[in-house]
Amino acid sequence: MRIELRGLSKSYGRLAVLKSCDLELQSGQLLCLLGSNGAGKTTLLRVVSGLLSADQGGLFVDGKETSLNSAQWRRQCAFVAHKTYLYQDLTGLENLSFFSHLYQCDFTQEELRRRLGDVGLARAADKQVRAYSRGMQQRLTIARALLPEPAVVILDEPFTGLDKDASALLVRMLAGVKERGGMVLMTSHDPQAAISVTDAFVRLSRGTLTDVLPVRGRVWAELEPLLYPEPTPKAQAA
Amino acid sequence: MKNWLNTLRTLIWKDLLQEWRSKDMLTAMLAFAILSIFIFNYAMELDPRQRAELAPGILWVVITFSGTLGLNRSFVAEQEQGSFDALVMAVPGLGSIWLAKQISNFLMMMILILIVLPVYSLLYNQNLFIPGLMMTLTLGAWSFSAAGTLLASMTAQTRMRDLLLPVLLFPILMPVNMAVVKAGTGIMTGAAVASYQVWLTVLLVYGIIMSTISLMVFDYVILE
Amino acid sequence: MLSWNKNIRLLAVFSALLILIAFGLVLYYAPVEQNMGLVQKVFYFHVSAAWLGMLAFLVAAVCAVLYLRKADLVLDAYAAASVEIGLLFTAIANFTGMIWARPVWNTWWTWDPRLTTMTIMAFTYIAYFLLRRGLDDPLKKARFGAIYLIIGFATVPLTFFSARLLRTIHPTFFGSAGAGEMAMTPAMYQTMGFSIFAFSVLFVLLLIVRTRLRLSAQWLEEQEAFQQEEEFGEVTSG
Repeated sequence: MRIELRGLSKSYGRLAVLKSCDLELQSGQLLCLLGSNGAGKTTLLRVVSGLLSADQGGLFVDGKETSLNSAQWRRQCAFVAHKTYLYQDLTGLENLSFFSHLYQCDFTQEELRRRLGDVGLARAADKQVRAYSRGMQQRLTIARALLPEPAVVILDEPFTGLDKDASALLVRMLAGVKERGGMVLMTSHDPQAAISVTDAFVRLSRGTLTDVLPVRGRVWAELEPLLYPEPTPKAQAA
Repeated sequence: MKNWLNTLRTLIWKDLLQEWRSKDMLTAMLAFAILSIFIFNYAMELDPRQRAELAPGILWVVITFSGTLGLNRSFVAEQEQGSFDALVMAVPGLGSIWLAKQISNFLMMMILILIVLPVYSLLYNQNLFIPGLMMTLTLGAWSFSAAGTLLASMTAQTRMRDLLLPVLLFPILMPVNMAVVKAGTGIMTGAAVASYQVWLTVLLVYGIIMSTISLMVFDYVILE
Repeated sequence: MLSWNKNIRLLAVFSALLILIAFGLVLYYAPVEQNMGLVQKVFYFHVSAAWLGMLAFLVAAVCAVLYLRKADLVLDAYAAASVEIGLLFTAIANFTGMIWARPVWNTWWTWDPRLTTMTIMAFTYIAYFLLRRGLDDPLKKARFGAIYLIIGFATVPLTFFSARLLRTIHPTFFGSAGAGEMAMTPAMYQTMGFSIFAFSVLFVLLLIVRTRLRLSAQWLEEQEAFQQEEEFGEVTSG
């Protein structure tokens, strides 16, 4: 599968947040979006996931135009955002069970427990989410998002608040998504964390996708100067 | 269609399970309802001869006021952790989110009514378990939750939240209030069915209109 | 955007002229009603205002439906302006009604269902502005406002129907008249028709002017937000 986003634009009144963004993503690829606060990263992710309608632009799946705002497309995407999307009064298991029913995957309880075990929550399965720590909630969020085996996984700053173990776990799970042919689009303020599974970095600057930097097996030390070029003299003075 | 019904069932089950765990909504609604019955007693010095006529009006005020408390809470879980987005992405049709919430709210109202009725009957020594009155209250509860769920889904996203819902809801509910009170009074005083039948029709028509409009416009509440 | 041109000025003069003529007709052309005397004359403007209040709310509802389809903020401005004017006319209808009711019914206010439902309708539309004030995002403001206008307008006929079911002492001008109604002569009907026409022209004028004002205010607000964003952008990109 291969998706193309062409000419995505979104503005709030006169304020253009996205200016004609083009993006391509193939099965088994992970793209990491970089950009400063207010560059439009979250807006772009929400548009791609079909939660926010774009003013202009379209989506092509394998060359065929598809509506970004259809339930069919939304159900193929998974979204991990700042908010956990979890129900605090339900247990971890019930949260998973609820979403598995909504996606009509109808996993058995054993299968759901196994999934919870995969993210290290086997022992907390029957506790209410309210009692979970922030990191545990984030683990459950990831398990929930990956439950229906979505074609496109979209993550907004997923490494925020994760400890070392959890970060490693997330990287493993993203590798799993790539292996089964899924695509990943994420933003991160810590691009180093997922470097081992990242295929390319894309920079979003004030609503425009500026440059693409393929990783191609390069290590972080080689990439860092390319991603963060020396600050200009003017900025230093400031 | 089968998928759609399954989705609906799953969503309602989640709401009920959540309420069963926290009991936030029902406890607040019930406590407020029973307190209001006491307040009415002192405020109006209910005369036994007038009670039969006044009962439907007082009951309906108690039910709608405490129902509004519940409505304010009904979208809290979705709002708190942003799970509206997760629902939007997961369900095949967005209308099911509204309908499920509306049915959950309706069930809460029915539980409230089923507890308030015996309490009122007991306190005022007056049997309120009359099939006609039950039917009127059920129709009223449906209309109330239809309008209330849609409005609560909007006010939950405003700055003033809980303050705003009653101000928006009560003018819209005017025909329902008139119809429930008029039909209820007719039933309680043993008037001929023909004299209040039209009010039941008003309730039915209102319920249908409000549910239809809500299903049609709900997409605009949650999609940006 | 509408431009402040000669036509609007012309319309303003025309509408002022019509209102003056309507005054003249009411005072000198229409005969004095036998039972109620002079005070009956307030009724021409009372009915016109009440009628226009309804028309304004209808226009608002139509704009609301169109807004949901087209998502054009100009339509939202029309809807909001129309509600404002509708509220104004409803208030005029209520006050002129009170002036009339004092000598005829011997009280400023009665709990007549028609009066109460009229007031409740006014509250519906006051609530509309409260809802708008509670929202910051202009698009959400417009969307939620439109939804509220639609359900508000759908319940108004039911409210009026319910009011008619209850016994009313209010004279019915249109449709079947019961006992004790005022006897209308042709001159009265003509005066009535003309004042409704005069008020309608005034409504169109006010609608255009208020909508223009709303659009200008909105433009100014966006302009400010835009400038702030520009400044903010310079700081972060530096």
